[in-house]
Amino acid sequence: MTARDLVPEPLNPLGIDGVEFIEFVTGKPQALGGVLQRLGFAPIARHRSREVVLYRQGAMNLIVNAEPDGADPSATFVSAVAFRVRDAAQAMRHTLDAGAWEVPRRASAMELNIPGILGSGESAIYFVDRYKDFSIYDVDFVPLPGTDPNPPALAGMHYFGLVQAVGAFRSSEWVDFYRQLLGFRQLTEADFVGILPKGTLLQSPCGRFYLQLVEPPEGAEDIHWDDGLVRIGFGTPDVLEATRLLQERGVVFIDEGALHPGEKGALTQVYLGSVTFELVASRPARA
Amino acid sequence: MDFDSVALDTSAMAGPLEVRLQAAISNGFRQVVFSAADLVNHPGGVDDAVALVRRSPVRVQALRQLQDFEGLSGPLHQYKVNVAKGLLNLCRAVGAPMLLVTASTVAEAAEDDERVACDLAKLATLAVPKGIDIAYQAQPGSRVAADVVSAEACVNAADRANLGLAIDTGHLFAGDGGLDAFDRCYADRLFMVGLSDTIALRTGDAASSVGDAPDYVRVFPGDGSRAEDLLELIRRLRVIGFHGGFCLNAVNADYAQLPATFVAEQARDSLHWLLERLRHVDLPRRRMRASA
Repeated sequence: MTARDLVPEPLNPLGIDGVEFIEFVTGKPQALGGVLQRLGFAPIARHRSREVVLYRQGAMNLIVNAEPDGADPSATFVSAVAFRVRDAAQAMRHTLDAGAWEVPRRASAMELNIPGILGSGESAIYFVDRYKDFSIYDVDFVPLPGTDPNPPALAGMHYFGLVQAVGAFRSSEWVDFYRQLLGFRQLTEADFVGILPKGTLLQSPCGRFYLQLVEPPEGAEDIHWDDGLVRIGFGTPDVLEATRLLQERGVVFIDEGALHPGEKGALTQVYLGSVTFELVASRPARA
Repeated sequence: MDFDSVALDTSAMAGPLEVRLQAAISNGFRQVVFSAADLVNHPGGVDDAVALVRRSPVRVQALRQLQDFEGLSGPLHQYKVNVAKGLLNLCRAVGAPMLLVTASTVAEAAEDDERVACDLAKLATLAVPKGIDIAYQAQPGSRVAADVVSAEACVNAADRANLGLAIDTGHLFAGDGGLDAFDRCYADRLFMVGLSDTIALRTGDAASSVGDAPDYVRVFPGDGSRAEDLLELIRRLRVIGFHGGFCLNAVNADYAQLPATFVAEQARDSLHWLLERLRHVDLPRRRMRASA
């Protein structure tokens, strides 16, 4: 008998219901904002007191936090993902009891009473339970004048998933981590999607969000390989149409060797030294 | 098995951190196991100790140790969770990819398999974001896991990828444990083997009655009375496909009052003794899990 038999895992212990926002931390907010706007996001609100801007596209909220507190103030990286949950306080109790670390309360935008746990590479996993009748952005953010607060999604783009770099031979423990704490389940290779079908794929219990765990390739011991969230995947029902629209807006996709835009997916070039985005064939789930 | 894949446990040596570190390095060791106390008792402070280790050419194989963690409840459990967090942060700071955990010996530890499994699973989960493995070791006198078989049962029940077993051959021989337990171990669950031999002593005074239980002095491999068992154990590890780490850990009262260089030389000679006798035992190289 194992711990899993002793404590059966409910299918969706936290009541996860998709992603509320993804956050970037950057020392180059203008440059990142330019990239995001080419990807179809629009800045719609600014934090009342901090260097933080809310971007939106369709149902996707993206926070750009220009108050880096890490070792490299010029770096740009995905610093948090916030899941919509049934009860944020209950989600915290469940995850802390199971061995999560509560994220330190940093003086930045999205930490105003939003509970969260430590994820990969010092990133945070937040829990948001006010997303139906009340917006968490109403309190902290001031709308930018003259902007549409609900800019439409380009080519039906929606959050599909995140790619997480993990250390060599450490995928299994991250599978345990996400399964035990959040109720994610591991998919088989037959379920892989996109143009980079490698590593380990996990699906959220709501079925609408994916995590792809990628270890350093064999024979690449000399490659600098930090743990962390390294890429956002956008789902779109028509990758080729989305690629065309984004190219018209100035987004550059990798098109060499085995990596070229196709019906399954497309991968952008590297922006700001570390940021890439991926398109994946996927239909948005109905809210 | 090669020289570079075997660590020296600096607990076997006396003196300040830099003296022990230098003794290990100058005798060819490229991996060490530290006690957390080595780092926090450094006169320059823990940050200075971490910097010293990070600047050195050695890789830290593991940090010892968290003790009396599992099977507790209420404030005592929460207290131990906080202690575990502190040690995991120290592991990360010093670049140790593994934390050694010894089975609980406190009276309050419940002999409740379910609680023990859940506590070990929780500890393993705490270690994931820090990139650290948990190596759980039996402890003589523990009511939770006093031997290898019990400790492995706890590890299997907790069932976490970054939770495995550490085996101390000194404990094994002192307890007169057989080697058969290894044959049933899953290699993937076996993270670390501490290598030492023992010599039995009778410590009763001359007037005491016969039949005193023997005490043991822990010595480096090759210096004790269970040399053949030790070699056989390593051969069996080869058979089951062990790919974890080895460390030499002959902590004893005599070595504690001898110069660190003397002890490191003993360790070096011991390792040469092992390698000479095991040159045909092709243990798979340590699976290099990424460290923090």
